Amino acid sequence: MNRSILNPPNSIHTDLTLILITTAISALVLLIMALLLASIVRRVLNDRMYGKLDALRHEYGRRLSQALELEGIAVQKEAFLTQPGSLAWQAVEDVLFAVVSGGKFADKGRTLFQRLGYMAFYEEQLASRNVLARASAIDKLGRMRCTSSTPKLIPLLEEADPEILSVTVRALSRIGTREALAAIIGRLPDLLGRSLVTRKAMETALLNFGETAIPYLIGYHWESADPWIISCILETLSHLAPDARSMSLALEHLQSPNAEVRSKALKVLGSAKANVPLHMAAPVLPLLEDPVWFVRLQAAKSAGALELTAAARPLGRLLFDKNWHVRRQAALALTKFGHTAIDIFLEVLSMSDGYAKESICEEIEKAGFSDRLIVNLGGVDGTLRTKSREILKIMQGLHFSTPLIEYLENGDDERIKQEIRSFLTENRKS
Amino acid sequence: MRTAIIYFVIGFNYFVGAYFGIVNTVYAGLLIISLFAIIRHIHRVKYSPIRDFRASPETPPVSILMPVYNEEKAVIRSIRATLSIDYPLFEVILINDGSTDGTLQTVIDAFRLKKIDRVYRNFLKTEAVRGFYYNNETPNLLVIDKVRGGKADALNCGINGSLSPYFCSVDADSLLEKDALIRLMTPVLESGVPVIACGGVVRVLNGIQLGDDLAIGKIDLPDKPIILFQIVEYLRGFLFGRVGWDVLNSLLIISGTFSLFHKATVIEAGGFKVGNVSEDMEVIVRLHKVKRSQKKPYRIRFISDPICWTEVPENMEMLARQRRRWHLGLIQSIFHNRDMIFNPRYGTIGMLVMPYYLLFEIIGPFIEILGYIVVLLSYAVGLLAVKFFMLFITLAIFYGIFLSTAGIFLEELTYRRYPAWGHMFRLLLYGVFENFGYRQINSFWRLQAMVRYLAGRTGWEHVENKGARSNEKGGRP
Repeated sequence: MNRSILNPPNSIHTDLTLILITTAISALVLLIMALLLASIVRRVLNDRMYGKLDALRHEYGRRLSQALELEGIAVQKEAFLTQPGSLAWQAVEDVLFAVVSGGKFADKGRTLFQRLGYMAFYEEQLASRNVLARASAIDKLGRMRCTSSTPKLIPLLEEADPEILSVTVRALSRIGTREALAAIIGRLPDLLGRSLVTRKAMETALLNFGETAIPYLIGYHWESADPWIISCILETLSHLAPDARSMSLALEHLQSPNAEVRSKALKVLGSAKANVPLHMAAPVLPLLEDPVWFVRLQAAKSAGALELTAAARPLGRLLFDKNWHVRRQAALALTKFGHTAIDIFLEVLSMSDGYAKESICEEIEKAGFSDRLIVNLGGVDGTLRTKSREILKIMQGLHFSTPLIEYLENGDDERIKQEIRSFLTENRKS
Repeated sequence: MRTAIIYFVIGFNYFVGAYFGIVNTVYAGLLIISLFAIIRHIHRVKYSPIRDFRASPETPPVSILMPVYNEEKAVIRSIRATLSIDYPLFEVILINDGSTDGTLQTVIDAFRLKKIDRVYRNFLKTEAVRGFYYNNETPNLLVIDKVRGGKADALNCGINGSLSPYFCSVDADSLLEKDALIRLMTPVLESGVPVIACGGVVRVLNGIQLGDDLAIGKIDLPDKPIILFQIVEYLRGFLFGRVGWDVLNSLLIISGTFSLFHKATVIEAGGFKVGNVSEDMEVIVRLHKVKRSQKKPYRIRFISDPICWTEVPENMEMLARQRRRWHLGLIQSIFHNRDMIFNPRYGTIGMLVMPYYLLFEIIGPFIEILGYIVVLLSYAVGLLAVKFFMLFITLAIFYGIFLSTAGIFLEELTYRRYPAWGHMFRLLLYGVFENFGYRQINSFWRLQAMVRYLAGRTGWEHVENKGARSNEKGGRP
């Protein structure tokens, strides 16, 4: 509907416009046909290829499982030798990846990867100029978990491209050798400082080493005075299985002048849950009064996880902390202390800080502690009954009355209901 | 008078020629960019550390916000499916936005929830909250019951109730693929600059059979042409439109049906705008505005492998309502932030993307309908050369077919969620058919939205779907 759809002024213009539009339409038709053809051809080829690949995987999988039962790898090798890049090559690779990912034949699978030339093939691709091809080769070498690739991968930790660096760190962490771990740890300052991407990749990858990493991380930490590296090591340790060496290290750093380090050290201690002896857990207590809020937060979390009853009173004080994250965490930690917490709650709820009181009430309800308090109303222990009654009464006054109303509607102990009604009446009067 | 008409027709024809050329050049550019970006992405996905991220301390917790209004039929399915996703730390916050059916009671019964009292911080002002429901046996599910205030208000309420640094908005009649959220989080974890929002692909759920575990089971195409047209539209919109804009860091829309946001940034931007009928787009425009004003580096990403399946309208009336609402939302979003248009302070967003949306996406339907009128007028005054007209229409139709075929080709090249031969041929066929009527009627609905905006009629139009009754669907392709 442009100029060309009008009766044109002269024949040259007409012809030119006609030619242009017709050419454009023809080009579009060709493009559509090309896309259509490409879709069909691709589908046909893919169907054929994946059909063959599935059959080959099945066949090689069957052969490999039989062969792996035998001892001699050298005998098996000939049956799995294939042309690099062929479908059979890919099928054998997929089957071997399944073998090395776990199970009793993982070691044999790794040896086969090496003997069949996969490692050499992908190691050659490490020199490729195409980033995607290199990254894919690094990833595959990592998934093969062949220890002999480690020396080839380590130099890649010097690369500038964050993508290659991240994949290399992950690949080395999958291989999981001490050499790989030492190489990563040795480059911690650079990897942490290079970019956000490599830092995240590194922190994730270190966990793949599992408990093997603990002595290396601890050993390396003594060589570094950089609080950033120390906190990164402590963070990693907090996600690994609790270990006496990690605990000792954490204790060393509880007094660190760096808040991040103190906080991570607390996290390591907290990861041990209730399995830490009291003398080791006690140093958590002073940190509940740390000047930095996130240290107090972590201290409250760890005190709760360690079920450190001696922390009940300091946690009570944290219920008035100026930071709401800390207040909430302190309340949550206290709900884990059972009856011990009742006195603290009662004391705090009798004070005047409305915001803190509300946080406590919420955690009491969310943790189901209010149900325990309601049950206490019907108990034989008079003191406990009175304290529980008092807490529930205060909660009701702060509009945290839903559990009480629910009990009145659905509860079955008439004595408890009577008790609830009585203080509801008292509250209404007051 | 006749002379004036002739001059107008001639002038309009030059204008339309240029307009048509620019729009199609932009589309062609986006298509080429998308082709390279998608091919690169599918290669990268092969060595992406998604499995590592599932156990990584670096993977941040996410609150999945699910606003519901009268979703009694679908809500349980959606919650169960969402609770079963593969992600290390997440909570589902269902916001019952004043449903008048049994939505709330259905959820309470199904998950044995108890009413609790909660400290609620009203960072973003919302309609009143009536109650919170929770069960510590399902500690990552929280239900907030509130007075009706619309989807944006419900999302704001969810943000207030969320304790995670990121939130993901999901519609209640949608189903996330198991690894959709961890894939959506990947750009956040892999980016060197802060990713403040990220959108994934939305696909059409109608016709899909669900497995026992509520995962996507057998994928089939429905029989209704109206749904098939929408499937082609979704493929085109998600696989080349958004991918292309993403490469240019110029995304203006990520689907509200399935998108991830950095909570603090959204709060800083003032949350979702109540009263805007397309809150997902409006908030993205505002996030750009805030970040560009602060001159801070940021990214808003779209990635094409996390998939969320959603129901689409199955009849013309509902589709018309949805499309009018989307277009109205687009107009509102652009006009509410009109100070960004051609403002160099906002970089490519101000100088390129906003003007593009204003001049081509908003006004496009008006130009198209006006074009049909001018054709009639040209014919009436004897200016129309039928041969040229037919050629030009043929060109436009073939270009439309080319774009649809390209969308389907990208799907074939990448994810191939429609595996049967019949699926591919039917989609290709509907990519052709949509140029004869469906596209024109869409333009008409969009023009209606423009007229309604000018007339000040900017209220919600309710859309009801088959599996669920819903009035506030996102999922714009």
